[in-house]
Amino acid sequence: MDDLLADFIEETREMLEASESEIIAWEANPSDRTRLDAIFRFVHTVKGNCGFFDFPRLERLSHAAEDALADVRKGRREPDAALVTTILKTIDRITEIVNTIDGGSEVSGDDSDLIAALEADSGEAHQTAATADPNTSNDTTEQQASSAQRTIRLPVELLDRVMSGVSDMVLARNDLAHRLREAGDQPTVDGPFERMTSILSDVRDAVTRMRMQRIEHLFSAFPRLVRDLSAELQKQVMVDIDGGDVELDREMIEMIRDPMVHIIRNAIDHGIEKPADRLKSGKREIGIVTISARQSGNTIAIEVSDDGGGLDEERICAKAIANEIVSSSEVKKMSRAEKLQLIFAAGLSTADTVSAISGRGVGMDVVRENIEKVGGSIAVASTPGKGSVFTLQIPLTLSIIAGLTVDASGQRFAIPQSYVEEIVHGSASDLDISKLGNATLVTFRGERTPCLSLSKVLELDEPEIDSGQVFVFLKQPRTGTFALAVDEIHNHGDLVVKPLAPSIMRCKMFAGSSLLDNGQPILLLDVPNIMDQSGLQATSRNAGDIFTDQVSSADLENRPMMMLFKDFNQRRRAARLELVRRIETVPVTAIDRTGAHVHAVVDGEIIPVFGLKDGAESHEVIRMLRLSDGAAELLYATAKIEDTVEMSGEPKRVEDDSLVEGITLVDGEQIALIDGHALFARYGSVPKKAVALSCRLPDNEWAQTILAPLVRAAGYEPLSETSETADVTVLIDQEHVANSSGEVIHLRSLPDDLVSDEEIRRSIYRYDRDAVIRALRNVRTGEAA
Amino acid sequence: MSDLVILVDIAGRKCALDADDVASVIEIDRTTPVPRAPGHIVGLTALRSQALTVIDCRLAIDNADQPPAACERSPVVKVDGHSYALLVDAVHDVATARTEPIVIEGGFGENWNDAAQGMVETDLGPALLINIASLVRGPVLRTEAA
Repeated sequence: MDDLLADFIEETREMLEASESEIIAWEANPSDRTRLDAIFRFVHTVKGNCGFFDFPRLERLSHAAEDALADVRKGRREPDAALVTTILKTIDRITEIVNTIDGGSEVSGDDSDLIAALEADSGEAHQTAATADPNTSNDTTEQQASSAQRTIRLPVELLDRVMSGVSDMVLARNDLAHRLREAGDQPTVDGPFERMTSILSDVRDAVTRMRMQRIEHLFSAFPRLVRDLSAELQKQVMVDIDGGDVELDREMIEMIRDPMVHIIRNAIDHGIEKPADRLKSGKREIGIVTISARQSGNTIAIEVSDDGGGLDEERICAKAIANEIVSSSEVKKMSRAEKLQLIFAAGLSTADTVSAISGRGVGMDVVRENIEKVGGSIAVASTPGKGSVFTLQIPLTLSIIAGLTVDASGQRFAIPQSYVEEIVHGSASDLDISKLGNATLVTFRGERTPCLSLSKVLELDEPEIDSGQVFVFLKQPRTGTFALAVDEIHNHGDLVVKPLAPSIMRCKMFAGSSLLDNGQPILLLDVPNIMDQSGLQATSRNAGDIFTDQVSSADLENRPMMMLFKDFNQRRRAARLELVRRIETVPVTAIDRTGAHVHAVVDGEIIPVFGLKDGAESHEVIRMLRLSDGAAELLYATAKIEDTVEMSGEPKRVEDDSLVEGITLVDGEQIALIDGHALFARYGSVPKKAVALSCRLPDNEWAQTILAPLVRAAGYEPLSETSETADVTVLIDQEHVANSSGEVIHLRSLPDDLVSDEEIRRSIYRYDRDAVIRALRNVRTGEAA
Repeated sequence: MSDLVILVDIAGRKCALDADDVASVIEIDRTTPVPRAPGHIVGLTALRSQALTVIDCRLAIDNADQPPAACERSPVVKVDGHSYALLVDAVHDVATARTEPIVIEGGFGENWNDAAQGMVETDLGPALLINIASLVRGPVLRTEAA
């Protein structure tokens, strides 16, 4: 019986959610029979179930609603605003009663008011029956094709068990992978293992999706909210919802419900103008609130936009200055976009009068805080007179977050990536550490930021903060930015976060735990609490700006940057960053080593290559620095591209290598800086358009999908068989072409050992990759194939 | 409670854990210490993909400095949805409790009164039945709660 009751409550709730938006839609268009039918069905089902469970009060109420709706269906009654409001109230009452039943308490109370209202004008209704629009029944045939997927109900606990089982499997797999790597290549095991890995990742995705719910569940309540609010504020607002099929973690949906409601309230209360004002400014009197969701990668972007008056930046700034959130001199330096973000600062509310709808002390700062609590972010954009857009970025799940792992006093910790603003190595020349009593300030790019040592915060050790450490700049808008000194940055990646035992949570240092790849637990730092406990308040950021002028930022910016890389002789080299146009990943097939100089084809251009050693062919692709002097270009082949660093002082000249500009120091190591001038003088050339050459390919699938990429990599533009002219034509098992302009390369499907010698001389086996590439290149260099 | 208890040694005393509360007995490999956590929390350890909080039972009952419990095997218990691994001196056997927990005259001593439910008679002699929820809260919080 209890199970049945639980099912009843669950089912009723689901139907309640669904029917609310139906009612709003029905009110907008009372002749819409499908909506009416849907609402009728809901009330009817509730009535039926109540009889079964013996809830007399619920039964009477739903019965009265059913009667009223039946009258409307038969055209005996007009669905006027009063009736819709009464029906909405009835549904609210049903929700209340269902909640009471769920809570296990006795259902008491009286619904005679609602029942009376539902029955009220049934007398008049009979009179209007004659004038009822005969067209109302026309829509009945348009049965809404219910796209109901087959579903089953499962306890969340079971899902969690499956999920942790899959997580266990991933760990076991990682362990196995580790052992397999140690044991060396084992082709018989590696294949099945790879398969298992891909199956496992599929299963993992599927299990994660199990916890997902369509965001519709959240959105379906908004039409009602908008309707009620606009009625209360005497505004006319239409709501437009898009992207309800985006899926989100169930818990996440609950977490963003309140912030979303708050934003929508604000949009209607402050954003949308009164109808008369709208007409005056040449807009339609009905305002539109658009709510949309879309997924991009691991985040969901939710936008709430209105076509109202837009945010008043002057008033926001005035309020912010009055409430001492920013100083007037700071405001002067801010752009409009920056000023608008001030509405998320604590203690700012622009509403002059506190209305019941919004501005009850909970401001946008609380919204922002709640969004950030789940690892999301919020921003606003606004055009005066045109409206505002609030954009929320929400991670897909609560339990998986992007994290940075760091070391402090030999122990590893994780920091949620969302707080990390910047990571600066202590040896960076524009970072300055000053100790004031027991406090430490770091000055970076002319801004002073309070600095904490992670080891000290966690009472692991009492080290002095020094330049050998790495500074992670953490931003928490409520309290500002601070730098956390850690010993080393380890890694960043997705972490599956699990809750911690209450007695650990109580020390307010950690927000959760996660497991590393090796199965070791790792603690996730609770950044806001660490800041709070260290007494770092909002004032901390202002301190930095006062001194801005003292540190001339000009000479910092002029310090040259260089890119570190390893060349094919395994020597570390550096190139001035201005010289590097970009980093190219060049497939080996695109490199031509046949001539006196090595060339590569990149994006259809032939560019000389420098620094390639024999043996580089064993790589599939080679990373190259594309150097440019403005006109000429040169590809510098590298074994590994490392990092971009600042050049410390002028490089020291060396004589013995003409291609080296000088020696510079990076982290104590001597590194040769390549000489751009000498390189270009010797090797550089203006890129030649390689695609000037075209190659006609047969119109069969093999040629288009397998041969075409090879042809393109060799620097040809593949053309279809029917093209008028081409520099070269590839034929497969074919003697002649209709219009044979240019060279012809014959390919055949049979390998060399199955054909005559004459045939071998005449044509190339189509999988003899080297021979095909050679033939294509020979055409380009003008030699006959 | 079930009739079965698991007998363990904590701080040299024979204690009993309700077998229903004990999910498994594991061998703790490595623990990750938790800085600034209460003293009785040794750290976190991984049981497959789950992170367990490791509790030193000696310190959890008595806040005084005691040599750490050093048994390789530790019972895993679940309290309020969180799993804990208990560090004890030794894990003995499963026994049948012949009586309901009884409070003996004069009590079990200041710290033990909070952590114990009472004495139970088992096949292997009397043992102190431990209140696991109180144990994992640790001595400091128990005093706060009181």
